[in-house]
Amino acid sequence: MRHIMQLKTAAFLLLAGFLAAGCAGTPTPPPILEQARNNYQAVRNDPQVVRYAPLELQRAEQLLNEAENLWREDADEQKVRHVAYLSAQRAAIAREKANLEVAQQAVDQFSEQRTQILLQSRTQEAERARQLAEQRGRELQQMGERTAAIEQQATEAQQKTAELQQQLQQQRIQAEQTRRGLVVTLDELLFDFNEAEVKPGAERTLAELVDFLRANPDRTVRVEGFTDAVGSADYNLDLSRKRAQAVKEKLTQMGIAENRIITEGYGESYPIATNETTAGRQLNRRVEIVISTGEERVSVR
Amino acid sequence: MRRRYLLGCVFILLVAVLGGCAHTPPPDEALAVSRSAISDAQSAGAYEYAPLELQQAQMKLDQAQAAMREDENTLARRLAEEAMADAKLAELKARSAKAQRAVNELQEGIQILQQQLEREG
Repeated sequence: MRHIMQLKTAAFLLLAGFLAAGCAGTPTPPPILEQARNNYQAVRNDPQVVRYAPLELQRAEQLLNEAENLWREDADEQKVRHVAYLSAQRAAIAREKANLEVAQQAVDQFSEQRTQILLQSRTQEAERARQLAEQRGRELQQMGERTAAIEQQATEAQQKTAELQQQLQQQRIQAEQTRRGLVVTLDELLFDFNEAEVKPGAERTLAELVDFLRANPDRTVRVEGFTDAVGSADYNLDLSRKRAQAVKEKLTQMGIAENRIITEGYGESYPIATNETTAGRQLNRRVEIVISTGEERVSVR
Repeated sequence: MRRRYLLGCVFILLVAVLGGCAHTPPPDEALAVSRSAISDAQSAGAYEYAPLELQQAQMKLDQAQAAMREDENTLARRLAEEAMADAKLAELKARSAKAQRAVNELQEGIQILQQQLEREG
């Protein structure tokens, strides 16, 4: 009985020994082979490596298979390690090759994007310049329009003067444009000799003048009387004043405000013809009515 | 009888030596390829971007040359092949690192441009 127990124990120990020996019979692979396996697994599952480094991947696989076979066939461990190392490095190369390819594509893509942005920037710049130019153009145009308006105003003023002259001429009033304004000359026929009373025949001419002054209420007149050189200077001066005054009274009677009319007598001064002849003296006996160009009063001779 | 035995031995020895020579000739070509791969890696900027791999490649090339001088041709070949793989890895690592740097710089530049554009726009 005791012998049998000893036999059993011996058999158990023997079995355990075999098992232990079996484990020792499949020793652990060298670390480099493990690393080659891991490296290959990692890159094989990387879609970028599969896509961009297929040849390197294939070479890593071949080398790994070769290393595995050598390992299984119990070849020289130096050789196994060598081939496993080559496989591991080849897998790393495959990864770097894929990285390089991806980066190069990104470089191309970003370069294109950069070009687009620069282009957009130039376009924006050009647009700003165009808007600025447009604005300058508008400003210039406005300035031009303003100048044109001023010019037109000047032209209109000139036209108005010409129109007045024409108007007066149409009304058969002798009018002459001078530096002081329009001058209407009433000849001595409107007055009797040595008289200051305006003759009824002169009223028609004055009526036309009144019409004109009504139509142009901003104008004022200066009535100036003159005589020939016959008689004393003092007497002539007085007569000329009375005649101018008479014309003013007539005009006020006909509805022109008194403050629009200034009178002045110059006697025998400022002759417009010779006093040696009858015809000349006739021309010198006169009343001149100067109409202001605008609102300003007519300047003194 | 004895002479014949001797002849047989010499023949076997000869075959073994010749066979040995034929099996592991000096790996001149492998060494040349490794040298060229190391030079490529250096040109690609491996000194800066993959110094460890480059150093390893150079070390193995030196060891391979030493092994060849000792007539250990098999070891020399293996070392040369590993040096070549190390150099190739160094080269690709340098090239991909440089490309990645270019990508980063471009991205940064684009960001700055876009900010500028938004400010002006």
